[in-house]
Amino acid sequence: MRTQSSDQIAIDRPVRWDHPLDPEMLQRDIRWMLDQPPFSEMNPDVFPSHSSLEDVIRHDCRILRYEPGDVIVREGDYGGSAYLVLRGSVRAFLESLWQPRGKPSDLSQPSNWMEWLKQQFKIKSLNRSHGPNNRREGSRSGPQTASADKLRPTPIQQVETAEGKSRIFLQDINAVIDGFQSEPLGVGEIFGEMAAITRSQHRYTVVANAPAIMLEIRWQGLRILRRDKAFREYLDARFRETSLQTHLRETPLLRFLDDASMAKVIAGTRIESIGDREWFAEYRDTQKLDVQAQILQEPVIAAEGHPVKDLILIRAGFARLSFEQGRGHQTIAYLGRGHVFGLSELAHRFRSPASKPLPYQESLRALGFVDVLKIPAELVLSHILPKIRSSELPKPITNPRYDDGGLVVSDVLPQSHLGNSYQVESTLSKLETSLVEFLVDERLINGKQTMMIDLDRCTGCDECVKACATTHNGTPRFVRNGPQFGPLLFAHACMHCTDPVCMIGCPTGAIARDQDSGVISINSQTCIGCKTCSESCPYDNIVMVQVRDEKGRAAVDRKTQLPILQASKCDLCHELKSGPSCQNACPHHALFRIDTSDTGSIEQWFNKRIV
Amino acid sequence: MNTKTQTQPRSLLETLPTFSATSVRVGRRLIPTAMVILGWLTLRAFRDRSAENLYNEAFVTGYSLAAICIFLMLLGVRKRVITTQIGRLAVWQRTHHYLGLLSLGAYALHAGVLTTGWLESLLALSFWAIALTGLIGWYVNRTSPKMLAAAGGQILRQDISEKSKLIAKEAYTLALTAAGKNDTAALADHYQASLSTFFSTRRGWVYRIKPSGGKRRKLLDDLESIDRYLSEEGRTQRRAMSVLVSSKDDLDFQSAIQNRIRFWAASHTWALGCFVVLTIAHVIIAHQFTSSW
Repeated sequence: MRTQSSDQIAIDRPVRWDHPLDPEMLQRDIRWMLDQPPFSEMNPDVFPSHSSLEDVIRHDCRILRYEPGDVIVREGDYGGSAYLVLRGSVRAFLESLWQPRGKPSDLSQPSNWMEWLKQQFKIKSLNRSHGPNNRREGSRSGPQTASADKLRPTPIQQVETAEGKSRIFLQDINAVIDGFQSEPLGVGEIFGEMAAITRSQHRYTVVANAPAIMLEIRWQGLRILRRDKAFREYLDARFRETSLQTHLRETPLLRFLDDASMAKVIAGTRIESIGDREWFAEYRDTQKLDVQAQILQEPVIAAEGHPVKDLILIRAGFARLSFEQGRGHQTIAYLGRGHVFGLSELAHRFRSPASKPLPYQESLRALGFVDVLKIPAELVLSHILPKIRSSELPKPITNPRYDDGGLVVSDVLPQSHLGNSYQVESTLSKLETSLVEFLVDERLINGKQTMMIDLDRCTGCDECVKACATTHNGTPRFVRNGPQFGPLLFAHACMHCTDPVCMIGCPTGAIARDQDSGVISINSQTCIGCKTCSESCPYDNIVMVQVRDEKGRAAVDRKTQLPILQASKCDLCHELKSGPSCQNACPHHALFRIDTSDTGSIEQWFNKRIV
Repeated sequence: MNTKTQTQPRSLLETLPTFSATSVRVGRRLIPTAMVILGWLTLRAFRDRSAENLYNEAFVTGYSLAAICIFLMLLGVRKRVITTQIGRLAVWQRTHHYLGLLSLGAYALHAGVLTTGWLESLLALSFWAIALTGLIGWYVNRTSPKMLAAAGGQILRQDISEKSKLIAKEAYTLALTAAGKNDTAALADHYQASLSTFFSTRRGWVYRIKPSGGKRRKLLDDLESIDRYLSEEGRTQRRAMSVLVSSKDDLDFQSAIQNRIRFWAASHTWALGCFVVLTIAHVIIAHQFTSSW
């Protein structure tokens, strides 16, 4: 670095691959890997000269060694890499090995002080009876799983090994393999790609059961490798197979199915992807249209009034549940991962086999990108519904909007079908339709940590902005402005989305999701200022700012003298124990973070709101 | 080997129950008010006991008041300390309000309502100034959000000037368009006579201190009254001009309210500065000229 003037400093413009995943990767290892499948089977000509196959291995891959019992990926962690087995063997546990961290199922949020005191007693008695390493899972508030009564292993984290790295391992791997359903993965097989491609959580845990060598391929490299047709097809086929199986196995609706019925359901189910994974570009265009025109442009997954051929399970993404109202469409709710569509109609048919089946009573439309599983109606009627308790079936349709001929029944109240979809009932709250429509139209349904400002309390004192600036070297990372719904302002601050499309195009992996907390942050060391993330963010929540050194001098390109930019966005102050400083600094209790992907959270907030 | 388990039980704080809206409402007002009253009664009993035991009760009440004031000033410290875990600012602010009330009671016990002597009078004046600016600031903070929401929602203070300029430019362009034709020229004339100053200048001090809708109503009424001189096209332009007048007035209103919030907050701080200096002088003098505690 060389100082140019008192307020500027000239530096080399950062470029892609300045920071390889493994800076110590040896040329010998690269050559060896090029001779191994799947790399040896790839066509090197499909890769551009500036991103050759060798470059990808050199910069976007690293070799990792594991001992028996070592956890390679953990269920619930956010994934950004795929893993290729180079040597040894590993096992993928399709059954959940442990409860989701931080949410012991038997300790739900108490509603009053007496309940809280009871819980404290319960915690103590649990700790006394089982000890910290042998806690059994208690009664679950949600559906029971087959493995609920098993002794669950406790992952041990070894913070520092002899090599200076951290590892997580299971102490008695053989006992775990005996006790839980798992599948072996051998040399040449890939795993973890599903979470990396969809920027979501791993749905299974993978543990080494013998000394193993893995090749970690980060998402940026995986995307380039997908240029090879055979490799792409292999990944897609594997993605479909794995995601289908995993999702069906963890669907509460199917939990009572025996192995034979489950196998039949798996064999008969189709997985379909609707919309574009990079939906933000299309959204920017359609956003300019009239609301009704926007809805008409959304791909229809199932149309109201049409015969029910499938039960639809949403695997990823969001879908709009609506029905025709006058000349437009009224949105009733938005469905996300785990929600089911069409069950009410099928349950109606199951309950009254003699009468003619009812068609879909509402429409389901894809919002951006949606992955759905379609279980044929016949399979649902013959293998699934007979095994569900009648109390768990949706309420009977007594007042259908569409009759058995698919014709509109004229005197049906507009919202008579609220809660007809399994699992939606509890979350389909009493939120105003207009608020649901607003959240869907603005795509705020994607937010996990949406910043919401209550304008009935906000005085505009800017303490939140000042606190943000103080925490981040003088540059605030949000704008106290944005779409408004009544007294609620949804500020331009990163929402740490369920589907973070900003991460798709990042060439260096600088914008990444913390695998534990889910917080999306930008690594200033590896961001090269390419603007891809800021242009991809559909909410304009990422801005480009000029890089400054610790003395406050602005960085400029040594060659062109142009400013060096970097992406900047809210990181939820994840390095502070106190949490987001904006929220802590608000003197009027006006600023909140809320999970807008879940209507239940919003309703809960409204119930607690005191003006 | 440094090992630790990953599945930690939740901390006690994380499992604390949430209050219902009603219990929060009751808890937020009644409990702190009761604590303020209890605090004042305790202080009074302590003062009386000190007097009975022939201690100097002025020191008891004086130092109690000083302690309360130091706690009150800690809010300012909290505002500047962001990165540590010392509670949400909203909780500090609420505590500040109730301690402020207690300080009024403590002051009355220490000095009474009226004081004599020029230094004491100045000190009393600065104390009442803090109390007054604090109370007004509290009232302004309570009432402003709804007033701001009524005037076009959230508009950033730093954007107001730029938006005003854009509106003024739009109004000028509209007037210029109207000036080109006979059947719309009345609008241009009216703009020149009554509106150009409104669009191009800031509002007067009276409005900034106490914003009201009087001028807006008058301007809109005057604009509507020229409809008889306008063609259909001119009336459409007049309606557009009315919208611009309303928008400009909303921005002026936003500016006045937002500045008012800042003014009272700043006044509170200035009064505090004076009070601290005078208090130090008062303590030194009190110790110099008092023989016993």
